[in-house]
Amino acid sequence: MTKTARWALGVSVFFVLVCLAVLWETRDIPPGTFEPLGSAPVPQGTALLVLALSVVIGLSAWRSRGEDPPIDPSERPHVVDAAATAILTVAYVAALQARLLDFAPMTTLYLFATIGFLTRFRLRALIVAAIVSAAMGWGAAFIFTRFFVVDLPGL
Amino acid sequence: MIKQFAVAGLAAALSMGMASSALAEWPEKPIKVIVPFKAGGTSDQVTRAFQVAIQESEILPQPLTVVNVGGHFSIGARQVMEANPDGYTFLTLHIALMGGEAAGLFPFGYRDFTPVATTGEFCVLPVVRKDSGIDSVEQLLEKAKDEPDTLIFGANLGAINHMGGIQLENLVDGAKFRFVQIGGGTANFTALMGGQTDASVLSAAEVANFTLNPDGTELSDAQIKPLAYTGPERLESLPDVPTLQELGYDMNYCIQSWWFAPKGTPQEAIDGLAQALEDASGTDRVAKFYKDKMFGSVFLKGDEMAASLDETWDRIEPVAKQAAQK
Amino acid sequence: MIEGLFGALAHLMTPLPFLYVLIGTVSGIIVGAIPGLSGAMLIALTLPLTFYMQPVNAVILLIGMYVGSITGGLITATLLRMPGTPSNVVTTFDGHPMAMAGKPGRALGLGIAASFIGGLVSWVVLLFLAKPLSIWATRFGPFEYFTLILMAMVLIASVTQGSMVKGLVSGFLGMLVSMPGVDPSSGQPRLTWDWYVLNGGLKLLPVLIGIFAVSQVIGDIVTIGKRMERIETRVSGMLMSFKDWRDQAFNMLRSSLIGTWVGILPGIGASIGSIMAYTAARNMSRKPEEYGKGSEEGIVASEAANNATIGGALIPLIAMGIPGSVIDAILIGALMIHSITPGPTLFITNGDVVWAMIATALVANVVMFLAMMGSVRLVARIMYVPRTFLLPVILVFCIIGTFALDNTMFDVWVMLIFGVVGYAMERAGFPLGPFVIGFVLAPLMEEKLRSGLMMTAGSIEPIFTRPLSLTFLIIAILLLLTPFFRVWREGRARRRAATAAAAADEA
Repeated sequence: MTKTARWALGVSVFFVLVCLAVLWETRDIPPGTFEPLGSAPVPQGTALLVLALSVVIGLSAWRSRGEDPPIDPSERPHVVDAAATAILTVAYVAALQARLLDFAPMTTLYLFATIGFLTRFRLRALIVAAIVSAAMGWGAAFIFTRFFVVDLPGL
Repeated sequence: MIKQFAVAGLAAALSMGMASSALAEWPEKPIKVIVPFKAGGTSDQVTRAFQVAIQESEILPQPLTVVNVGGHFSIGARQVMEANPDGYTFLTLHIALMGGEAAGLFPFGYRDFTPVATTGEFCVLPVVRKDSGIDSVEQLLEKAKDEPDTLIFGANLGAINHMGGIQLENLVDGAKFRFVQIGGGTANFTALMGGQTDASVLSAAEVANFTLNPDGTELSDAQIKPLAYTGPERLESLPDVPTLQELGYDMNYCIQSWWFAPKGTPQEAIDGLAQALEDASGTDRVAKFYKDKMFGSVFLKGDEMAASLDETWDRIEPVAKQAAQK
Repeated sequence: MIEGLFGALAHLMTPLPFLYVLIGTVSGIIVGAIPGLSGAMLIALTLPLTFYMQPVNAVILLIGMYVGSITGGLITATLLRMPGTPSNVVTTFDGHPMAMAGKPGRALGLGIAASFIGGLVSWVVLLFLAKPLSIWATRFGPFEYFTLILMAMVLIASVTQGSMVKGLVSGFLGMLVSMPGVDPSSGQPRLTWDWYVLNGGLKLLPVLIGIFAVSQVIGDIVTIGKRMERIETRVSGMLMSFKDWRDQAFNMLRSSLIGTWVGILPGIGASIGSIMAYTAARNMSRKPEEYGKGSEEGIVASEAANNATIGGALIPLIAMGIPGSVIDAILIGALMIHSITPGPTLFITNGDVVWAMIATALVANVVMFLAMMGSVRLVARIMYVPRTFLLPVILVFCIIGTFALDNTMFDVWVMLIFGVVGYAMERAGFPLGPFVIGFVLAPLMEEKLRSGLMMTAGSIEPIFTRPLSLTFLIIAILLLLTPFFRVWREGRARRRAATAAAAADEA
């Protein structure tokens, strides 16, 4: 199975689950009173279509053969970087929502940590990262709260 | 009645103008007012008119900050309900709050907030196409009774204009419109123009805007006509349109702007904002806004407002339930 | 008419109003060019500031932003494959491959010139046909809308590249994602799992920012080791030559007219205008195989059409007070704040405002063109900013931009989740274009169909008896068949080539 086929299999299983959830949630919607359709048939019909087509895609991915050509080690996917960024981003948004810190310092911290990780904490990069992060954190806070009125979380 | 309130409000504003500054420390920081709609809607305009009036006339030492929370209005309302009741978060909303609660859209309602003040109201007019051969509310309802379920009534299902249509139907036993999802005022005007629908209700400002020239004469290519007004007195700019009460129908349907605070907000803050709003109601800025938007200048607070809310709820709950099932 | 227009133009040339056009257009370009921030956000946030301005100046500022943001969106669509606004989605199809092939300046230059022409064409239509066209548009009943949207929906099949089944799933999934929330056709919530937050549904911008910008950021981080090739070092080729103009003239005109026309119809919006123009261009092209791989025609079609929707959408706003797009609805809000209600009498009551809008649409377009051409060389360097710095900053912009739209954290989570979904779909070979079409059109299509059924008490007969809706239906069916015909024709050509090659081998 190629990489794409593996992803396709995963995604189609996910879609099937989503569709089942939709069908379950629409089971009790009463028929329309203003017109014959009501709120249920359109989502149900769409979900059934997605479900059927996802099964087709999933099966053909499951049965597919062939392997990816070996990749150049320099182009190996940076899964660790992606995972670290994802974790930091989720932590950042959660912290904003919980109002742990104000927007500006929180954003500065997040950017510094993320850029730092992506550049493997090289000293020169860290110095630039500190400047960029602080400028972005306080700059954005200034524009969005002093100029535009946005209720930035943590402010 | 409304005029009396307005006069009383004005007098109170004059006599208590100094009292408001004497209130203890509140407010120490900007006061956040959440409008649970996107910027530019009616609720937003009302809130901003008061925001500017309060700032211009220096009624409060701190400004109001208007925050628009988009999406369904229940989202912004819930934010205020769950906000820290420190006296610096408020909500502006209207009858949709009751409509949604009665229809079961969300598990909370107006009783979960502390009422602060009612500032102004707008009422609506049933309208039909000019070439429909219908000239009065009586004829409209007659037709809806004789040929039930044929007159196409454009509405935003479950919303203000839909509830207006249902209240009209309820005036005559057996009258029945065929409600069709069209949308808000402009969409309904367009649908009437294009002959897609037969009737709807529009706000006074919308009717004036779509049918009158700036000098008050009738627009020559206006294709719609208003039949009656659901407010307590005739409109200045539409003097020939009777009120429903004059016509002998027991229906008064005006949409008031309500200001709420989260439960548990210090009384000091509630009184302080109510007083500021009352003072602002007397300013030229707000008076002009009411005139431009053809709003009635009602002002209520405290027990009066609470009583008026309960009365509105008793009236609107069955209508909203009807709107949700039919 | 002449007096009104020239009066407004003269007003625009005085220092303060000109400053507003300049600020509006340039800030629009900047915001449009930052992934995660959108023109709709900028205009909604600027609206309260206009309370203190003269109504005419407020309108000048906001329309400048409108024009600027739609054009600015082409920059990141081309350079980073992150459409700045939903209407630039189609530009990524060809702009990005061309930029990756080392010609970012050329790709931008084509897009800018096409934007300018699109803006001009729709402006001329706006000037001369505003009134009759908008009255014509009121005659569109639910069934006309339904069939028209159906016609646009069929384009899902046409814009699909690669697997047709995956394209269809992507489109239907977009439809499904648009459905949670309070159903307008019954006033009842559905697919909310009894959670009030979902009453408002999943909104367009959070979902689109997630699916396009965040998913691309994830993809870029995964391939962060890859180095950008730097081929183009001179400006030459950015400005269109006489030959380019001649080759693209017809395409530009056709795409601009399609964009204008789609813009007039309320609710269909800019995103669909560019998709329609793109599909039309591909179906009529002599080189359809280049589309999706860096076709010049594709960039031109998309950008001419999306800028043309601006003028188109202003037509019903000015003539009837009906917003033609999301941004127009905010513009109406801005006028209402000043107690100006757009409607049929707007020309009589506030002629100065109307002429200011029309004149600004022209002047902002010129300012946009000059500003973009002047900065294109500098802007093209975004391609070469180290990704390790750029990507986290873009994520922060996506978070702020999404939050600022409606002030809810829920939207931010939606955006992040759809970022992951979009990335997974991309890896699995699902095209994302159809997703947008499904997402934007499904709610309208369902609402119009059900409104129609309410009117007729359950009959769909008018679809076949009303001339306009029947016409749209027939076009939809023809469009549906085109891609299959194309596949068949290409397959036949390939087989022929294969037989010919085999014959040659034998010989």
